[in-house]
Amino acid sequence: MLLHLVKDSLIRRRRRVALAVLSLLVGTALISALLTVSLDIEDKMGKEMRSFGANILLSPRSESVPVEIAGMPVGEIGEKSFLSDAELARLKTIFWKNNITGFAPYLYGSATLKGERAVLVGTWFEHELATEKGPFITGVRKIAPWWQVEGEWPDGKGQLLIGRELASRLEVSAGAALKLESGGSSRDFRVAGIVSTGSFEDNQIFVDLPEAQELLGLPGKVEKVQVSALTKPPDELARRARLMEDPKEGLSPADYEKWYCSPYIEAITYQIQEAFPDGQAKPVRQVAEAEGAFLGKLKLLFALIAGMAAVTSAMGVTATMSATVMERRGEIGLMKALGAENIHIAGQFLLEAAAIGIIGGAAGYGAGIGLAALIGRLVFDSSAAFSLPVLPLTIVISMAIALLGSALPVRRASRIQPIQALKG
Amino acid sequence: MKEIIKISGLSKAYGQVNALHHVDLSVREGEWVSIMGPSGSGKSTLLNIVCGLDSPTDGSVLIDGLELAGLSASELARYRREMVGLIFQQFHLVPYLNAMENVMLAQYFHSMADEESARIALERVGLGHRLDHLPAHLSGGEQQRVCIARALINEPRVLLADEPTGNLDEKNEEAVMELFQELHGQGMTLVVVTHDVSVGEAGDRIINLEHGRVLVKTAPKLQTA
Ligand SMILES: Nc1ncnc2c1ncn2[C@@H]1O[C@H](COP(=O)(O)OP(=O)(O)OP(=O)(O)O)[C@@H](O)[C@H]1O
Ligand SMILES: [Mg+2]
Repeated sequence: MLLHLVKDSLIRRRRRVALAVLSLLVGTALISALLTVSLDIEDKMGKEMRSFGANILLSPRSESVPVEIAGMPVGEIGEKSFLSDAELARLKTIFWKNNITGFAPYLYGSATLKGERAVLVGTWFEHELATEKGPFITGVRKIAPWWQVEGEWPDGKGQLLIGRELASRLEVSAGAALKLESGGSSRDFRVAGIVSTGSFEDNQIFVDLPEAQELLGLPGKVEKVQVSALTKPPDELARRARLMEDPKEGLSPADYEKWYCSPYIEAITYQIQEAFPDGQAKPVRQVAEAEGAFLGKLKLLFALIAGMAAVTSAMGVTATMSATVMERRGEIGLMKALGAENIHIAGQFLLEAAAIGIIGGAAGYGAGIGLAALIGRLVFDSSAAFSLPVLPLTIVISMAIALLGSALPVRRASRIQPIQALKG
Repeated sequence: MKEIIKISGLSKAYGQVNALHHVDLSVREGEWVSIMGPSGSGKSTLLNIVCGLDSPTDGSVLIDGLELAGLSASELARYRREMVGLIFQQFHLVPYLNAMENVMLAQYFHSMADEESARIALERVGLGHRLDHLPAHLSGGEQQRVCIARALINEPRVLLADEPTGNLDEKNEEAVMELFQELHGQGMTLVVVTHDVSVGEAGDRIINLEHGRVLVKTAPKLQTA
C-alpha cells in the first residue's frame, strides 16, 4: 500500500519530481565529481610524494662536499666514498621498517656507446631481498612508478634500459644490440626498453647494479640510495624536534620516545642514520610538504563547494516536496480522518524523497563521471580515474540531501488538521 | 441496553459563535439515531466531535467508556481507526486509487492491507463487480457505497455519517438507506446527520438541533429493543 501510494504520487507529479531529481542531479554531480577528483589527486599526489621516493636520501658519509649534476654525484673534494650493497637489507630492520615501502641503490659511471659518452647507472630494477619477514621486492620499479618504459623492463643479465632522448639521438630501438665500453672493458647488451621520465634519466643508460659494478670495477659499491617511506605529516612535536640538532638530547625522554615511535619523516631518517653509521640520511621533504598543504587547501575548497551544492539541491527538493504536500492536503486530511498517524504520512513523503534521492544520486554520479573527467583535463591536465566506491557514497549523500530537504514539508504535512483539509 | 455514546454538557465555540451549547445526548448500542436541524445548527460540529476530528470547548464525550476530551492527536487517530467508521457527504475517496485500494487504505492505517477482506467488504455493499474502478468511473451512489465499505472494513463500534445522501439522487439514496437498514439489522450503531426528512425518519430516534441546542426528541418508529 505504502509503495503503491508513493509510486502513484511520484508518477502523477512526474514533472515536479523531475525538477527535484534535476536539482539533486546537478548537486550530486558536482559532489561526486569533486569526490572523484579529490580521491584521485590524493592518490596521484601520494604516489608522487613517495616517488620523490626519495623522500629520504641515503648517501655515504664523507668529509668532502659532494657535487651533484643532474642527480649524479660528479665529484667531490677528496676520495669518492661508497656504501656497500650488502648493507642495504638493514633498511628493513629499523623500527619503522614496515613503512619503508621501497628503495633503490644507484651507482654512477660513464660509458661509451656508438661513439658517444653517456652516464651509466647501475640500479635494481626489481630486486628480491631477503628480510626477517621473508622476501621483499624493491627497486626502481617500486619507487618510481612514473617511469614509462616502452618495450620491457630488463629481467636478466645483459639487458639495459636507455633514456628516450639518448635512444632517439643514437637511433636505437627496443630489442637492439648495444656494446658498452667503460674503462678498459666492454660488454654486449640488448636494449630491453626505452625509458622516459621527462627528466635527466632520458639521457642515461640503466643496467642491473651488479653488471654496472663489474663494468666500472667497483664490486659491491653503491653511491646513493633513494628510500621511499610512508610518513606521518608533521605536528607540533615533529616541528619542535626539527629545530634540534639531536632530538635524543633536545627532547624530554618521554617526548623522544613518542617522537621516535611516530613515523615522522625525520624519525625514520634518524633510524636509518642509526642503521648506517657510515652513511648520511637526509629527508627530502620540502616538495612533499608543500604539496600536502596545497592538497589540504584544495580539499577545503572542494568541501565548501560541495556543501553549497548540497544546500542548493536540498532547497530544490524542499520546493518540490512543499508543493506536493500542498497539493495532497485533502488526501492527507482524509488519511488522518481514517486514523493515519503522522508516521504514516511522514513515511510516505520520506519514502518519496528517498526514491527521488536515489534517482537523483545515480544520475548525478553518471554526470559526475563526465564532470570529473572534464575537471581533470582542464585543471589537472590528466583525466581522473573514476572510482566505484563513489557511487554508493553519492547515492547515500543524495538520499540524505533529499531527506533533509523534505524535513520542512513533512513537518507541515504533520500539522495539517483533518477537518480543515477535508472542508477546503 | 448499554450506552455506547454518552455526551454531557458539550459546548463548542468558534470565537463568538456557539456552535454547540450544553448538549446532552446518549446513544445505546445498536441504536440508529438521526440528527436533524437547519443549516448552521451545529450538526456537523457535533458529529465531528464524536468522531474525534474536532475537540469540544467544554463537556464530556464518552464513547464505549473512553473519554475523548483530552486525548492526544495520536490517541484520537487510534480511536478513529479502531472505533468509528466515517461516511462523508462528499465521499472523500482518493481519486487515483480504485475502489478496492480505497478500502484497503483504511485497513493499512489500522493493521495490514488485505485484498481478500477488502473485496468481501465491497461485495457486501454490492460492488463486487466494480473492484478496480477509479472513483471517477463510479456513480455517486457507488462511490458512497465504497465509502461505506471503507467505513466498515475495520469493524467499528459505531458508524457516523454526515449527510450521506446529500449528493445522491433518489435511487442511489434508496440503495444507501437499504444498506443502513441491513447494518442496523445486524446490530450496528448508526448516527446519521441529515436534512432529508425521509432519511431522518428511517432512524429509531431523531435529535433536533437548533442554534446548537437539542430541541425535541421524538420516536417516529417503534424502538428496536
Ligand atoms: N471552523 C469553524 N470556524 C468558525 N465557525 C464555524 C466553524 N465550523 C462551523 N462553524 C460555525 O458553527 C455553526 C455550526 O456549523 P455546522 O457546520 O455544525 O452546521 P451544520 O448544522 O452542519 O450546517 P449544515 O446543515 O449547513 O451542514 C455555524 O454557525 C458555522 O458557521
Ligand atoms: Mg453540516
